[in-house]
Amino acid sequence: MNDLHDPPDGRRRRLIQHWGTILWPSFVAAGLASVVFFAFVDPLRLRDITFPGHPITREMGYTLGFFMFWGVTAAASAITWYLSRPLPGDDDDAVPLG
Amino acid sequence: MILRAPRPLRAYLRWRALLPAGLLAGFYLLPWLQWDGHQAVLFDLPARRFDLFGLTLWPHDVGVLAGMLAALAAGLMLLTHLAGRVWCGHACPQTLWSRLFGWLEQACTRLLPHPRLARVARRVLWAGVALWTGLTFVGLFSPIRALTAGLWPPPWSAWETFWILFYAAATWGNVGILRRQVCRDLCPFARMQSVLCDADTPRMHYDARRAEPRGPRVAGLGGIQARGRGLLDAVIARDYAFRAAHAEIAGPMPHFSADRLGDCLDCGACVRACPMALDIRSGPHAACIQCGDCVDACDTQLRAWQFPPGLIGRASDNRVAQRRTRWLRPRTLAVAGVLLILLGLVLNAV
Repeated sequence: MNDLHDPPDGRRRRLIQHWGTILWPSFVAAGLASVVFFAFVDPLRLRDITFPGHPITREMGYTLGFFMFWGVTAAASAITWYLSRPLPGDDDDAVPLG
Repeated sequence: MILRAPRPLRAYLRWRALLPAGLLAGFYLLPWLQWDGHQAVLFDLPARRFDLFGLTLWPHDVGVLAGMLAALAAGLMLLTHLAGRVWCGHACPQTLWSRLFGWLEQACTRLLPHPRLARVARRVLWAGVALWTGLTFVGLFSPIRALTAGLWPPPWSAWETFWILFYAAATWGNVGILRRQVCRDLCPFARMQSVLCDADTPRMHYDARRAEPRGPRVAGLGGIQARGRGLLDAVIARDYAFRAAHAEIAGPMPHFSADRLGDCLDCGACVRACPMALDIRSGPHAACIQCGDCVDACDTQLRAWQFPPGLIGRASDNRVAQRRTRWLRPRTLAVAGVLLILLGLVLNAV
């Protein structure tokens, strides 16, 4: 139907899988974390005890908080992805069996 | 022989087309709804309050909100367990916006003869829809009437502008660029199907006993019923379907005389209609979102050839194999139990 989007297999598909497995679960986790965190913490009161001199509004607080969570969760996802890659030589047949 | 795809009949425009249109309209209208003179659904983040059709939730009510979301998720699981992937095929935002974007793309290609012009028009329309989607989404967090108070310059604060553009970009990226790959590779719900569904859950099936051996033919022969051919044995039918799907390992199909052919015309309408680019005739596939587009495409062709429709349809594996079907299974009770507990907790807390 859509020639434009046809089999995104091979390199493009792998690239999207890699970035998708890092960015997408971390986005969901950051969203949940933001909802729970900001349900209990008012960004304005958080500003007063951290950077009282800065004119941080609630919207800016929410946005900064969400992207901070997303950055941290994405970093965790990225490290998981990095560690779960097959080690070089894991399936390498250079050494004959027996 | 090349078959021209006849256009579906007007009367045939059923809930499969109307439901996605209704849901999209519902989303775009949601922030415009009023309740007691206020916006009916508004997560007012600056004021730290959430209005939901007259019910006001404060930050300490986050448990109620989480309970409502969990109950909705359990309801979705029960629906999927009992009826298959109806959510994926007909109500998931990814499917709805993919349909909308695909439809705009087709309209541009059909109406504008020049390919470059069609591409520009498609991008302009996609950008418009993506922006309006971002605006509508932000309108659930910031009063929409203020967001749409003037045209140029837009009456948006810096943060509103940022989030509108962020969600517009997310919309374009997910449905304009990634589209079916989101369902195949990124969606966690798609991965849960094997846990939720069993042999009694309906899914898309191709009636190989009636359809095989497939093949083009001259018009006027009639379907197998009219010719008195009867249904094939299930194993033979599966073998023909397998050979057709895997010619490289099974070798070429034997040649069948026209009176032995099944009802599949091998016109490819089902494959062309599939948003996931699958061939339903090769057997059920984990990536099938059960949207039913192949059913409509096939039935349209069959009607044009005056064959009875229904070569592709929704049925559970047990029904297809003519085994005993069960409506209530242990998993049904487990999911329904969780749903009832969550509903009880939410109603108790409100």
